[in-house]
Amino acid sequence: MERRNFIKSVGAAGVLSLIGNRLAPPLLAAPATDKPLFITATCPGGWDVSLFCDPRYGADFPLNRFGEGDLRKFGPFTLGPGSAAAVQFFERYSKKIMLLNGVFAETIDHGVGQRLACSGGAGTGFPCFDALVAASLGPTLGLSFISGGGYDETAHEIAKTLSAPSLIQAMSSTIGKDNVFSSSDTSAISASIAARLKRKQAQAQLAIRQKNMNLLAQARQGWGAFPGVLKTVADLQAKVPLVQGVTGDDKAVKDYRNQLFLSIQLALAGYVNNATVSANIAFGNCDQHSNFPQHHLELDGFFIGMDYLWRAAEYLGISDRLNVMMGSDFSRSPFAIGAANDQGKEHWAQTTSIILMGTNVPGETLIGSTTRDKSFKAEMIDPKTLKPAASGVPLLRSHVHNELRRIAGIQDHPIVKKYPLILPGGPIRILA
Amino acid sequence: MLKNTRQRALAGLILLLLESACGRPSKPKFGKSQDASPSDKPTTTVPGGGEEVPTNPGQVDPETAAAIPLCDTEKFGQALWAPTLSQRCQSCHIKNGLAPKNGSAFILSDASEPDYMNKNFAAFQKLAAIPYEGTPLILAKASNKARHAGGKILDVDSEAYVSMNNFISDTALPKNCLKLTAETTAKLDVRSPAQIVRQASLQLAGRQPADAELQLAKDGKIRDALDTVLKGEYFETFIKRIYNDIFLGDGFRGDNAIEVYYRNNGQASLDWRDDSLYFSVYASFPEYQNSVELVSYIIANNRPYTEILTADYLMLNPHSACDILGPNHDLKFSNKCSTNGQSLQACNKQSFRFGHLPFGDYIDDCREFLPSKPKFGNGAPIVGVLSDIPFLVRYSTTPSNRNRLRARIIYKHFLGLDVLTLQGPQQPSTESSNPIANPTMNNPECAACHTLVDPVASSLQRHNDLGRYDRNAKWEKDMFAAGFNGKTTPNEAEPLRWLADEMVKDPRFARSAVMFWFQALTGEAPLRDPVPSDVYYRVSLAAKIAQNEFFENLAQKFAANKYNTREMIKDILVSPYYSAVGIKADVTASEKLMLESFDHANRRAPEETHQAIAAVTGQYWLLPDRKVDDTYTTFKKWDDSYLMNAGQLLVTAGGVDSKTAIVRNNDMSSIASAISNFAAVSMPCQVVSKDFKIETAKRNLFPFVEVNTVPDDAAGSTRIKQNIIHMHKRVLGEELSLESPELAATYALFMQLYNNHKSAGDKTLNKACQSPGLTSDESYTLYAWMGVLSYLLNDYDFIYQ
Repeated sequence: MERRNFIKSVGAAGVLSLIGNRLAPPLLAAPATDKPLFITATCPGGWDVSLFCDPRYGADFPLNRFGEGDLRKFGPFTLGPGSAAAVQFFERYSKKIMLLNGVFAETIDHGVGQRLACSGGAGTGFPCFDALVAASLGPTLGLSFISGGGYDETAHEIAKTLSAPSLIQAMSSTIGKDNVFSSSDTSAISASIAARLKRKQAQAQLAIRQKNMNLLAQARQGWGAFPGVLKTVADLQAKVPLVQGVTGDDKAVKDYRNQLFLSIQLALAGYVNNATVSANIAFGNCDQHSNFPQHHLELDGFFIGMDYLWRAAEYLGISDRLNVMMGSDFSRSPFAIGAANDQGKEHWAQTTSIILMGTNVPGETLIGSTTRDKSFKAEMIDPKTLKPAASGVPLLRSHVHNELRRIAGIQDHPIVKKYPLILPGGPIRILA
Repeated sequence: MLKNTRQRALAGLILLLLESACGRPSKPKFGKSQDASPSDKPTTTVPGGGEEVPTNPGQVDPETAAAIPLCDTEKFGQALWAPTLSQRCQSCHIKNGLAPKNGSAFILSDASEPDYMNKNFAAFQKLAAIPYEGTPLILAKASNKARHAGGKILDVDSEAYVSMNNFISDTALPKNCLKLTAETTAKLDVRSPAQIVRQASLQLAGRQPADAELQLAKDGKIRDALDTVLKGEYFETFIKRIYNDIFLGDGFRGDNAIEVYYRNNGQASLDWRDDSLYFSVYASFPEYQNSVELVSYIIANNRPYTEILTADYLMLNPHSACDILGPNHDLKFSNKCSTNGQSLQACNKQSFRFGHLPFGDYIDDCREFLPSKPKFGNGAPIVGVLSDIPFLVRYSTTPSNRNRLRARIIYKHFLGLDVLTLQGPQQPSTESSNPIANPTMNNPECAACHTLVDPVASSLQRHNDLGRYDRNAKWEKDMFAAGFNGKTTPNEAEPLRWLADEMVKDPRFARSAVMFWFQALTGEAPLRDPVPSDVYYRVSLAAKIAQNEFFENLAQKFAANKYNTREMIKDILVSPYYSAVGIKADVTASEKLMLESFDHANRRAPEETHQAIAAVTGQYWLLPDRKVDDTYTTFKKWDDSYLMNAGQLLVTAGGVDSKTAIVRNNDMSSIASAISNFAAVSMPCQVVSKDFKIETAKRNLFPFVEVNTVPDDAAGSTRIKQNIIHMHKRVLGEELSLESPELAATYALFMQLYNNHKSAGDKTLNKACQSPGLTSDESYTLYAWMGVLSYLLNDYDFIYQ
């Protein structure tokens, strides 16, 4: 008997009882999907790329109090000292990193910027990339799209699962973990629940009720992935330190149960247990208004989190199965908002940066550039050579998302085709 | 994607039945079954139909359904209306659309209108009967043989043209269309009046029904019983929740934007509170609550529902009254949101304790709102929700959009018309050899919709993207002028005020209100216009026409009753659309399919589950170590719960946060079912021992037993069974007898758990499940009762309603 049919034949109670007693799937079980886990990570608010990955200093950038001697080089990348954790991240992972500098941000509106960063589209209601991936590749999985913040619009194409400590509790409840019933009590109750549902299914005369009862029974069968997810999360929490050898500020991990780390744990655990295909993760608050002195801490927190993501993926043996995009709403202006420097810099539409890592991403690659002076503007690129070209086209978030859709193999999916991207100058081939 | 539409349910019914019965799809032919000859099957005449169909709907398959001859109107609907007229013609030929504006008498009715198919068939026949150079005028117009303002719509060799021509030529179509008759509807198994009251009470009052209400229902006075159900704080909260799903004002919680917009508009005077942005984050509550408070006030006080658009007053709480009316306002608040005994009408900073509470929860909980008619310096009119600043910001505009989003939302929610569906699947052509200047007015492809949308959009011309009013705002002339339903706004009129007054006169306004409440109460969207590929087209059409008639009748009654919403809600509650639970009589296959249109099974929204848990157990489902404290503000209470907090399980369980999660997801998923299970295994521990500590007769769950009532003798066994009957009724609304198999099943579970613990001699009671004086399971009954409660809370009839 096929496993699927076997589960069907024993019904929800059978599954529930089995789950309570059996071992979880192997910890490092290979995910069933042949696609990588897609993750979009953002630092909402508009990060200041002139402090780290597209460094600027001198008279035109009065708040950036560093000079050439403070810069660090890793392969093609030059890092400013604005975030120690960012420097360390590039040092560790430069071979995996593709950095896109000079991405025209198009907006100074936070909402629009977040939508562009996560979806490639500016309009409200435009689904984020990860929702499209989940709707296309894993519509029936139990935790298909995990949202840990950021712009996570689904356009109702897929149900998102918000990461929260109570989510762990909800999953735990399905296997009798942490609840007051013993395993034998749980088995008895579960069997009664399933038997009752079966009786009601047999009695139901009207189709909607029947359909809903069938859906409820099927949904309970989906609990089969939860024990593995829970076990993997627990394993990650026990074995992979949240912070390891970074010199940046570790304020982001002061609360050990930080929900943002939980989002990573859930996404990775969901993936290796074939329950998740994509995740949104947001770290920190990169809005610099009234917060300029703290901005480096926010950046540190973000890159500490990203470091954790890769270390945890390595631990699970799936570091070659990730595809990660990092970004923010836009960048910050060269100048301060007011006379008092600590008021921070203004929103800046002229440029932003994106970091890509993982499958189909050529590492140690820098694409795009910005003007050196206070115009701090994204320069056009030749869409073929990807080199700066005055007669070229602006590199936009939509171009990057178009590439992500391509490598995910979802660009021709009917759901995805409902949400076309605007691509001035046509697609730009960035990824392998 | 599961849309959960009735159409899908109808279309998928047969296969679903077959799959669940046989485990695989099969195609037994009606009249050709391998199991029985046609003569073996009892047959019935379909009321209004005439053809014979089997009584066992499980033996009708799509091929058979497709083989049943259609009457003329049904054939028109499936062959012409659905594929062609609704898709290619309706956008211009709709009432007050571009075509009638240009003098055409060929007007098509929208699918939400009563008797729309017969009206459209009649309009079609009238035009088809006029010859034009040997061709029926309808075809001559469609092909532009006779000059057609919309140009050529159909090529003469197109499938649609040929189909239309064939239809006109076919004079032999039968006239006996299928109808959903009262006799058929009477075959539904419906809830009793008392059961309706119970269901409505849990859903709309958030509590168990009162004995007096149940008695009234049993005495034939169900509307009187419902009158008290449709009252009170929870009912008003329910109203605010369902209307927030439209207005999405809650998305401004913790956001100072609205406060800033009010200030920029000159609609807030903040001198009295020495304001700063920090405080305004928490002070924005009354501003973003205005629209839902308005609707709640109108409905709860039996005011005309038309005021949702026409009200010339704002709803103010003690805080916004100071902001908007100034420190000397004369609104008489009852002061019930005071926590420090000071008069809130003093409008002084200290009375509102600014800066004293770290999270501003006091201001968020100042939930007493009163109507007031402030006069604004800039002349900004107050026009129901249409001028509500949060509404205008949530549905903002841009220089190119020019209020069209706002117009679309207004059409959708207050007139029941989704303008995006008018054009059908065809997109306007983007390329043309002769580009037309200003296409929204001059290109019929665009102007069709813009004729409807733009006058409404232009009516908002004095409200900018942030809702700010400017009487002298410049408005471009290259757009249809402000107006509605073919009329232009008089020069001297305030455009938005005039629009509101006109809209509420439109019959669609009342109908859309009925349809909105229908969906809120049943969880089911109104039936859609059947699509041509629907193999059960005639059945779906009959059900759709019957439902349209139901909506129309209620809408007319609603209008005649001065738009009293509570009475309209009662009309829905007592209808079979709310009370149907099954079918009680033998029915034909067609009848059964039509009766499916009454079915509804709505998964409880997270907020409803939160309330229902409290209604049956006496306690809310809260995060660990949180306690219900009357001094807590509403938001604080909600934040302490699993299902009312967007940072916990609210969104994952299907709710909205009004920010990025703005559409409810009622579908069942693995994680949604896990959340239900989480509640079902958590709550028994929290409530069972506590309930036993209450005086026996006043207990929520265990009024027939004590902790030491054991099933070891007949008396104990009987009392346990009586209590199980009580629990089934309280939790599920299910009435059991002592002979009921369901009682036997639940009792068996009780016994199994009781024996588990007794045989193990395990008297330990988890610390979390203890209550003072009840710290161990001495009689082995506590876990048994916890298991029974968990079983019931995990039941389909608790998860769904």
